[in-house]
Amino acid sequence: MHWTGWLTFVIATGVLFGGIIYSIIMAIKR
Amino acid sequence: MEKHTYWDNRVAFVLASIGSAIGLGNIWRFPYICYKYGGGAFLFAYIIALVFVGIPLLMLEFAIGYKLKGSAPFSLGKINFKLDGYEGTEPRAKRKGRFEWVGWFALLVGFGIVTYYSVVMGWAANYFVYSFNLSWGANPKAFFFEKVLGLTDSIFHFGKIQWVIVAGLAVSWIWIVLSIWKGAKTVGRVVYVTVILPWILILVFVVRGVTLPGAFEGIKYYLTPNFRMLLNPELWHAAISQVFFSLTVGFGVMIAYASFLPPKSDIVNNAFIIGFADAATAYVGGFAVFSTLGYYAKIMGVPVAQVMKSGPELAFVTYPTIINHLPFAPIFGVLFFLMLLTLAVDSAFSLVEAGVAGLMDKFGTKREYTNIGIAVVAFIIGIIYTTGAGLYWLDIVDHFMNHFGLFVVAFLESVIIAYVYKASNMRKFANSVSEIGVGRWWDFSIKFIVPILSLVLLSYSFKEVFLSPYEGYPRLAEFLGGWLVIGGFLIIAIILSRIKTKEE
Repeated sequence: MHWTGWLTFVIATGVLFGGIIYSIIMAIKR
Repeated sequence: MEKHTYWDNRVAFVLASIGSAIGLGNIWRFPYICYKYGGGAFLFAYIIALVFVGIPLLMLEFAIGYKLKGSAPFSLGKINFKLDGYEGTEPRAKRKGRFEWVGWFALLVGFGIVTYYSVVMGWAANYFVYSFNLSWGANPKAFFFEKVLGLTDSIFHFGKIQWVIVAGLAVSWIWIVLSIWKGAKTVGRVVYVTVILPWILILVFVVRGVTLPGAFEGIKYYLTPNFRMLLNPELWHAAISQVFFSLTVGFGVMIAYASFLPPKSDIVNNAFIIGFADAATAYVGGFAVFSTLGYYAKIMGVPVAQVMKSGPELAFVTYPTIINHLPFAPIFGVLFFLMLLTLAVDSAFSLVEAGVAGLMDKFGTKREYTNIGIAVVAFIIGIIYTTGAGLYWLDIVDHFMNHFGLFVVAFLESVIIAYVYKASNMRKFANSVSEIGVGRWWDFSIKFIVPILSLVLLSYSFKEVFLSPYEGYPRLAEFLGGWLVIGGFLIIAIILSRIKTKEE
C-alpha cells in the first residue's frame, strides 16, 4: 500500500477512536 | 397520559442512540461510497462533515428533546415566536407554537422508511435460515432476484406476493414491537444485545476477512487516498449526505430518545460519543467488506473494482457467493445475516418508538396499543414491497424519503432553533448540563452551515429528478412512490398538528 494509505489509516483510526476515548474520559471525570 | 419513562442509565441511552444511528448503511453503503470517492480522501471529508454538520445536528436534536421533554411534534410545537426563556409550564392545549407539523412530518418520513426497512429485515431473516444449508446454491444472484424476490421486468408488473418475505416481515415486526414494548425501559435492555452483538460480529468478519488471501489488495482500494478527489464537489455531496443518512437525524428519533433522559444528563459529550461511534462502526465495517472483496477478486482472478457492489446486491448476492468459498460456510452465513438483522433492528424500532412517543403525547393513547397499531399499518403497507415489483418501489420510496424528506426536516429544524428559539439560547442550555461545552462555532453551524447545506442537497436532488426520472423509472411510478408519498405526509402532518392535543 502507498504510504498515503498508511497515513490515512493512522489518522482515521486516531481521530475516530481517539475522539471516543477522549469523550469517555471526560464522562468518567465528571 | 402515562407517566414519563426514563432510561435506566446513561449507557442505555448512548447504546440506544448508537443502535439507531448504525444500520445497514454502515456496512453496505459507507465502504462503497468511500471507494467510489477517492478512498482515504473521502474518509477525511466524512470526518470533517461529521464534526461540523452531523454532530451539531445530533446535539441540536438531543437539546430539543431534553429541554422540551417530549416527542418531535410535541417539542417543536412548544416553540413559538415569543418563547425566549420558556420553561414548559404552560398547559399544552393553550400553546401557540406553529411548528408541530414539522415534528409530525419528521415522524412520518421515519414511518415511510420503516415500512420498507422492515422488509429488508424480512429478506435478512429468510437468509439467516437459508444459511444453515446454503440454500442459495451456486448461483446466489438468480436465487435472490428470481426465487426470493420474484422480481418482475417492470415496476407496474407486480407479479406475486412472495409469502416467504411476508413471513420474514411478520417476524421482523414482532421483534420490533417487543423491543419497544415498555418504551425506554425495554429498549435500554434490548440494546445491550442488538448493539454489542453486531460490533462483535463485525470484528469477527474483520478478522476472518484480513486473514484471507488477497485481503490486503481490497484494503488498498479502501484506504489509498486520491487527494485530487477533494476538489470534486461530488465527493463533498456524498460525504455530507452520508453523514445525514447515517446518524438517524431528521426523523424525530433522537428528539424522542433525549426526552427520556433523566434530569442532570449530558448532551454535548453524548452527541460526540454517538457520532464518533457511528463513524467508527462504518470505518471498521469497511475493513470487513474490503478484505472480503479482495479475497473474492483474487479467487475470481479479476481486479477488486470489478467485484465492488453496494446495497442489497452486496449483502444478498456478493456475500453469499463469497461465503460459498469459505471453510465452515454455513457458520459464516448465519453470523453474517445475524449481524445484518441486529444492525437493522434497533434503527427500525427507534423509528417506530419516535412515532409511538408522538402519538402518545398527542392523543394520550396507551403505549401498547399505539405500538401495535403502527406495526399493523406498517406491516400492511410493507406487503407492497414483498411483491415481484417490490424492489423497484422500495428503491423509489427510499430515494425520496432520504433525499427530500430528510433534508427538508434538517433544514426546518435548524432554522426553527437558530432563528426562532435562537441558537445561542440552545447552546447555553446544552453547555449548562454537559461535561464538555461547545463554542460559538455551533451557533454558526446551526444558523448557516446545516440549513444552507440542507438546501443545497435538496436543490441538487430536485435538479436530478427534474432532469431525468430517478433511475429511469416511469414518471408515473416516481410520482406515486415519491411525490405523492412526500405530499401526503405533508398534508397528514398539517392535519395532525391542527387536531387539539389531549390535555394531561
